Amino acid sequence: LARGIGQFGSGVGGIANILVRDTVATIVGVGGTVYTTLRDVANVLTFGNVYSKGNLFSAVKSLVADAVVPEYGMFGGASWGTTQGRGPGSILNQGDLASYHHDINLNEIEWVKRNFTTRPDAVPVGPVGASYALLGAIPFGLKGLFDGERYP
Amino acid sequence: MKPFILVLMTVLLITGCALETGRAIEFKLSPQVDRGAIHGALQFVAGELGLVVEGPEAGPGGIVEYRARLPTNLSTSDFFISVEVGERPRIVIRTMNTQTVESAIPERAFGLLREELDKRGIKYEVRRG
Repeated sequence: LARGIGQFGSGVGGIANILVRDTVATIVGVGGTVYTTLRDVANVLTFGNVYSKGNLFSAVKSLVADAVVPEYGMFGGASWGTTQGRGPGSILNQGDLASYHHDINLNEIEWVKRNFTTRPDAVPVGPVGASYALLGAIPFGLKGLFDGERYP
Repeated sequence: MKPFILVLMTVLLITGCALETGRAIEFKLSPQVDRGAIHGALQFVAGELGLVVEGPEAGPGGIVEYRARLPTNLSTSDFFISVEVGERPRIVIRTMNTQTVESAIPERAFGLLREELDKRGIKYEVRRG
């Protein structure tokens, strides 16, 4: 009986860990969206003089990319993650791990495979992280195939 | 209506992905590579280019990363070299689309790293992303 209770407790703890990390990743992602949007708008309004070296086209490009790609966790999003200097110690879950690697090497096929692996290297994602992976799979998969990406 | 929304979202996301964010040059290394040798190559290149080396920083999945970047803009880096010495070793030269770094610096880093890896007899495959 004690072993059964222990296993039940472990299972509940594992699910709680997944859900708490998913919630934190969602909240951090919303914060990231606010941050990148404000920064991008300021950059466009100053004709790219916040971080685009006075290049308005580049500033508009960043604004559009950040607007259409949502943020999730510490690394998911167009210019959210390594752009702010974060390293692997900040990874929250498996979705974040996939986005961390993509932040480094821009390999879309690797992002898809890491999100859908059945042997995750980090805590699995919760419902929001799973939705994020589903949302990104088609565009990332198509872009990766178009670019001739492969993994490993 | 639902298929239309799905197609629209996919097109928007492809646009976002296509517009994204800089370039990556990846040196894919063998899992058996000498970690000390690739760290040594990074230290040399960092010294030549005046970069600050940070790390190692560990993460899940056996990640152990060193990162070299310009001493300015530490919080918003637009150019860095990432060296993974964990389970899947690799070196990546990464530029963001912020354009505050002269394009000559990443190209110089690429040339120096190639020279150093060749000099140390480290085999690699280059991938541009």
